Amino acid sequence: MLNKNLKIIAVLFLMTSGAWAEGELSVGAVYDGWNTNYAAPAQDNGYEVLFPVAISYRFTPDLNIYSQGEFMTAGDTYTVNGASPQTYNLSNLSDTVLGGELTFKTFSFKSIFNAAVNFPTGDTTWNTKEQSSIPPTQFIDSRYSGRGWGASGFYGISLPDGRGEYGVGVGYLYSGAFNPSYGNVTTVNSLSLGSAVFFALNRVMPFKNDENEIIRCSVYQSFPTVENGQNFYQLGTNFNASYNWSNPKALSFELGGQFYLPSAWSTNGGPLVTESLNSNGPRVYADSTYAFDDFSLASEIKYIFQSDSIINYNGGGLLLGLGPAYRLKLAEDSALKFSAMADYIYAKNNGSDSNGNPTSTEYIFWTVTTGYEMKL
Amino acid sequence: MELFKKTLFAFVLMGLLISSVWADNQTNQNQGIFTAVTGKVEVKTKKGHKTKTAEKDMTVFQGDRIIAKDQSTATLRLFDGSALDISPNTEFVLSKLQKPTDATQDKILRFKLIVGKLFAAVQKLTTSRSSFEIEAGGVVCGVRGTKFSFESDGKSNPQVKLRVFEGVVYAIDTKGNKFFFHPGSYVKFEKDIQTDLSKLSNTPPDNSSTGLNDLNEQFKDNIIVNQNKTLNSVQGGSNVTIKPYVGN
Repeated sequence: MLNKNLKIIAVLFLMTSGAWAEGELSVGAVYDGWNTNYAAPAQDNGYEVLFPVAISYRFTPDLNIYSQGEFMTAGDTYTVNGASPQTYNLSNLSDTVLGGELTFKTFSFKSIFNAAVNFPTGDTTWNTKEQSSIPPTQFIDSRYSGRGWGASGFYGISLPDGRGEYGVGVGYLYSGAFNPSYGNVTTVNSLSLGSAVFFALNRVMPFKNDENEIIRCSVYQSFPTVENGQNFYQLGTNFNASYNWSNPKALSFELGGQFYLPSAWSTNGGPLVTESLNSNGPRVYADSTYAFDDFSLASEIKYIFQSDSIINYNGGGLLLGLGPAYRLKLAEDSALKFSAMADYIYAKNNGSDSNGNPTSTEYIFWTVTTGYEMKL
Repeated sequence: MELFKKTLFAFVLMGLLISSVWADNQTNQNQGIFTAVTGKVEVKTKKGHKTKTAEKDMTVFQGDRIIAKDQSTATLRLFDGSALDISPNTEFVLSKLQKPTDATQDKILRFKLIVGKLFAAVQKLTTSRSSFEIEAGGVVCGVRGTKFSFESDGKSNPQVKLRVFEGVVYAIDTKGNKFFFHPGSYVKFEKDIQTDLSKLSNTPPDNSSTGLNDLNEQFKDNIIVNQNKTLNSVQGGSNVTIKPYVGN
């Protein structure tokens, strides 16, 4: 009976989709690797090979369904306290996201609603295993996601203002319990990342030749992360602001800053207490891309101010990145993309010397990406 | 002399009557018929300057102006079997509807789009000089047996978008430059600058905008797709996404 219903739904789906067909499929292969200035025999390096797949399908002009996931193989090597280097390996899918975007009008204003579900197809232990080896995520995000069931929703509205517009949006992320081995790879416990609320405001002013000026402000409010049913951490409220100039045919750039309020921690299952010394320092960044037709060159600079924390990693440091990209058009509806990026990272007090004193660490992180995209 | 005047007057009168009947016959051949109408669609006739409410099977002629109001659509079948799907909030003029009287004559269908969107399904043209063209803001798009849509925002320096579904479409910009577009093409013309929208992923639908897309991408980048909020961020602080934004 269930199979029959599924078949009927599938046929209806195909019939509906045939009436207004417009989609996009992209597949790719990404290689990234890193090493550090650790002195032998200590090691801290690794590699990752990712095969991302993304598909989107616009059933009607106002309804777009999308899905994204990836397969990753990785080997992360690290050394702790002079012991022999240890390597963790991964060969697994990451999480899979399935979502839909609906555009409509709220009164006479253009609006969008985006809802997505996170399917726990990833390895929930990997984010714990990799953290000893990868560059600090304050500088470069983790490329892998292994979480539990999750759901998110976003509503945005556009308010015209002369030639330009103001955009206002609010989003919510629910994150279910996951990672049965957080904190200790061999210990089973339950962790639920705190849900988060996202508020955003932007101002877009279009200019000739598809150039746009975009000013963005956003706030993330995170709720407590729960371990085994107990609150143990709450990330401080995050404020972001940036100025962006985009020109698809020449120079695009963005200047931005980020600021965090102090986080809150629980000790031995007690109530959350706001830290007296903020563990997240403010950060500023500047990105730029220069496009020469299908070839472009990107650069990035980020500076993280050292935080006051004396308990947790107090961050601080610099990232410099540079990389080219090329898009090879194969036909009217398909193209190959190539890009590469090399980042230098100076992470202050991220390591320790033989006496246990904090020392700064330098990383070189490089990425090579190829991708194929086609319209369906 | 009096007889001559009367005879001359009779000839002139007959001439006028004949030419009027002939003209009507010619006009009737160069027509379009509404095959479907929903909501409020008006026709401002060139002849008599009257405003009529369009309904199914109503006939329109060269020079008539058609206005589809909010939440209103219509389909207009032209004398050669070609069809125009008229979107809501669209206004256009049937500039020229010339039906050939024999195989050697040219068939000409020309429309002036003031604002809104037209989807055209065009029948094969009979001679090399025959044409099916839509003009908006100085940009002319023409075809030789194809399906395409053409839209204009109606401003003084209008933004005009062309999307090709079948066959080949040519476009002539305000400087007279002629370009050819194939199926899959989606092009924007603004002040004689062309932008290939088919290159851009996530092309905004009609109800979206650059600002909304930007907000949505922020949300997807930071919460949904990249899944930045990992254990690393929980344990050691928070992540920052660095990604140059190249807008669409």
